Amino acid sequence: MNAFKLIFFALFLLLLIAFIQFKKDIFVLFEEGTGNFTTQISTGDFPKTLTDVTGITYTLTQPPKRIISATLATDHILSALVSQERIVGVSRYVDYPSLSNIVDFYAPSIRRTKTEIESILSLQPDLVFVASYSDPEAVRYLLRSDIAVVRLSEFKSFTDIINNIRLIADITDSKVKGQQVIDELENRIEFIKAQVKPYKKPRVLYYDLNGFSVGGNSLMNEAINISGGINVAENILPDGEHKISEELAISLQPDIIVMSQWIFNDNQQQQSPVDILKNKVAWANVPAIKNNKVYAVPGTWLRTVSQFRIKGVEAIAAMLHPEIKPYPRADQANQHNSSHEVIDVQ
Amino acid sequence: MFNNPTHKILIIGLLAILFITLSGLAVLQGPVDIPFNTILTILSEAILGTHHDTIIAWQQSIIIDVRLPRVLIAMFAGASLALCGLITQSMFRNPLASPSILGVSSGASLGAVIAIYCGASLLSAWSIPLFAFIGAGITLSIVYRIATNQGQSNIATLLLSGVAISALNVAATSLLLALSLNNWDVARMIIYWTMGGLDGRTWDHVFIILPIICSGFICLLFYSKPLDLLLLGEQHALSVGVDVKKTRRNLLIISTAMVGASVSVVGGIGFIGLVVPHILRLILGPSHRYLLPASLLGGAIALMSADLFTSVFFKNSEIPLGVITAALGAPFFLFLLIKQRVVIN
Repeated sequence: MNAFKLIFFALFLLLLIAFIQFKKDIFVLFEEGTGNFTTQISTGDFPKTLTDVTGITYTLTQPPKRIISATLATDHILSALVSQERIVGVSRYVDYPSLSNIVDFYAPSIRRTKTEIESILSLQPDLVFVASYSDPEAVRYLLRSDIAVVRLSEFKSFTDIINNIRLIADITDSKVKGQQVIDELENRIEFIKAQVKPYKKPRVLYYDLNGFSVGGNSLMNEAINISGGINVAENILPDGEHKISEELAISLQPDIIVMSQWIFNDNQQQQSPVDILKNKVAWANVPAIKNNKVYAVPGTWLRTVSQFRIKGVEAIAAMLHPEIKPYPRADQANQHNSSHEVIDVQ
Repeated sequence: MFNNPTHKILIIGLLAILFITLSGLAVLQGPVDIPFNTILTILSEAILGTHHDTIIAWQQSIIIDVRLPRVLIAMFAGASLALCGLITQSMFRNPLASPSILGVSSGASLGAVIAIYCGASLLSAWSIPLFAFIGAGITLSIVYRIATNQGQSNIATLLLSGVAISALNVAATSLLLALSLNNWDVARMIIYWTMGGLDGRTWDHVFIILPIICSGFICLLFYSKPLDLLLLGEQHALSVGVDVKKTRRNLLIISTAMVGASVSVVGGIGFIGLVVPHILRLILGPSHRYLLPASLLGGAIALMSADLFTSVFFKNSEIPLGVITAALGAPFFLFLLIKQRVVIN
């Protein structure tokens, strides 16, 4: 009898496995996305078809009027593309001074949401922007709930940022504004590249007091390269942001150290990471410290993966090559709404 | 287990040799390759005061201001964690006791997190250790007050209140972390601090930990007999003239100071406090005359070898030190346990 039960159990198990194998598409949402899983959007005019990497498709018959942006990057990009009337929700971090470049830009009536399914559904959006790093549970719900979802997954270079802006402009029917933002961004990058070309490239280390630096294939690496510098950690650390031992950082002997300026407890008067690093005895023999070439760039410019990233590059370029001219300001005004506070490059 | 005192002394001697070799290796080995001769020249200049023109300044900074403090801190922190583990296990006659069981570690962590949260950590290198210390002290006094009734402290109540207060401390730490999430810089700093480790430690940290550990160890040497007797039970200890109440209070204060100091400097590195004393007890037997110096050396060896292991095999990786100590220590501990079971059978 026991043997019969065991056989029955084994058969049942096999049946279940077979069922799962045949009906794999039910579980498709549970597969971790790797690589590029940005939503694909059909070309041409509305109605547009959005195809998620899971194969789920949505059709948007007209430009979305109730947009939720659940990531900080899309909050920033949308701020330059669509009018606030079309946005019903932005990410909760949008007013945090340590993370956002557009504090208090969005009207208080626009909901600040977490990527949390109930609050998102209650706003009855017709389009939701999420990212590869959004809460996967909520994204799964959203994908199933028949609301158009755009997932962004690539944030490693300016090309990625430009592609994201183009995609958002396309789906929100604001291609003209999108192209303006992209042109502006490309012009500013080219301007810096042309300015720094004649100068010798200094050896630059990006260093965070928690002990992090950046290897190749990252926005920070690209920023240093555009600004006319050499990232000393490029071939030493793996791609992306990684921990670097203090010993290794010192041995790289950088000419210039770039740090991220923090905003501690909303009080900007507190000690800068630059002073803390300068006071470390072990760093005293690093050329950057000896020649007093340690700089801090506002962290919000270094962390954002939106058009605001260019401010970080311009700031770094000005530190690496103080001789270069700033970008002509007349053109800069075109990029943002008039109500939009533009932070000056120091 | 070795019963012969000569063998025990021999083993402690071996530990000492291992300790010296490891400290030497730890100074020689690091993420940056600096030639052996250069390191010797740098060290001789630092110790003997002789002047050499061949020394490159940044290599000197690395050896003197990065590697040496790192090695010393690993040494002292490991030693103090293991010693405190030994004391708590003996005092409470409980094999699961470790510095964390009385809530002292979590109290120290909470103190440090408060320091970071309030921004005090930016003002001075001493603020985190100071807050950690206060956190550890307050936790211990609460736990001790709860468990002590008319001068008598009940071990079960002491351990249970320790667990409860520890849970409270962990909850408060999580709350602060959640609150600090609206500020990226603060949250990041708290997360990295709680992961623990030896990166970025300076001579300041050595000077914080050094006096406390040294004086703590010297005080503990006087307690090897009472600790042996406490193992037999309170009644036995009382009957041979041990002032149990006073001894326990003093031991608690010493171990709090030591744990507070090491947690404040290296963050949360678990496992050493729990397992190193057990391993040594399995090898050397229960006598504290041998266990105290052996734990001191054993703890230092454990943390230094874990750090060396990371720097040799996982260059530039982000594996926390606590993970290595556990990954290396657990199999060895289990091996000893199984071997002992075989002997008993």
